[in-house]
Amino acid sequence: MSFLRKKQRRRESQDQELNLIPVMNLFVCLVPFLLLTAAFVKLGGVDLELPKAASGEVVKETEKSNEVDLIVQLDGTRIMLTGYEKGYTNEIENLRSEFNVDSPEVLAKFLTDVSLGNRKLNASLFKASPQTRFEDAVKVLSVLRKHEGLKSVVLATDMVN
Amino acid sequence: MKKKRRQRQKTSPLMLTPMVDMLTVILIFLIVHYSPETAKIKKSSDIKLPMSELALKKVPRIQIEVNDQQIQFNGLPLQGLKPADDRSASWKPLKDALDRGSVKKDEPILIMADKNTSFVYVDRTVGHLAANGFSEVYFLTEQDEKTKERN
Repeated sequence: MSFLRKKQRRRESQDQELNLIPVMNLFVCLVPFLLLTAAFVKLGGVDLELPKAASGEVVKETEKSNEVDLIVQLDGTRIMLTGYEKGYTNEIENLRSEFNVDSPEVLAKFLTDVSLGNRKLNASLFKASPQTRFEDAVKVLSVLRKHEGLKSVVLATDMVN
Repeated sequence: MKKKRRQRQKTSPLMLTPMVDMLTVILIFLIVHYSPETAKIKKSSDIKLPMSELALKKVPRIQIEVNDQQIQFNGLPLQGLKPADDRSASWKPLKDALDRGSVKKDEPILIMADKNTSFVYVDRTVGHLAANGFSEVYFLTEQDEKTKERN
């Protein structure tokens, strides 16, 4: 008798299957929703500061600092970089260089070399000529923004009345 | 006859297990790659974004799309405003849209443009934003994962 009961129980357990239909219903709803709303392109962004209407704090001429402010100008595909003493007061000798926009890694290396030396990078001002493409401007701005030494990247825009 | 019927009953129903397996893999893939932030960006489908390694920290509420022909404010074109026009008076629709949206001056503004757009249009738009007292802009880019890995 007990043998027969065991056999019956085993058969019952074999017949019972996991009910997958609710799982399937859930999947059929979730997969199309995610497929429709998903964006497979990961978006990024370059955050920049805009110039303020009022001028910043006045730097005293006697105040000596090893901090460097940079002016980065983009003219078509040519990047021109000039280093100034803090507050964009006096131009620093031997801190003027030119790069090509197609090799932004050279600009990144230059910035690293400056910050590894006895000078410290502070802020940078970016200006692009009207011939510049948006892509080239973003390329340069990304390098400036990515550099840890630079506290801020300000976009110098044309005067608007 | 009885034997045949028993055999028919024994045949299993539709095999759902492989389908569930497949759907589980798809679901996991989609969940991993899902970014709800991207869905908030009101960008025209035809613009090709420039590449950058930097990530978008947050999606600003105010989004401005610039192209050679027009400027869109949160997906709606600003009527009568041509980016090529450098007269301040013709940029009034942008000022009005910012006023209507009661945008705080310290809020960042997202700027979107095709990679081949002339920077002068973007510069002009940003200049007008600065003139209106805004202090921060984000340029929307496509995140370049390959360059990031290489570095």
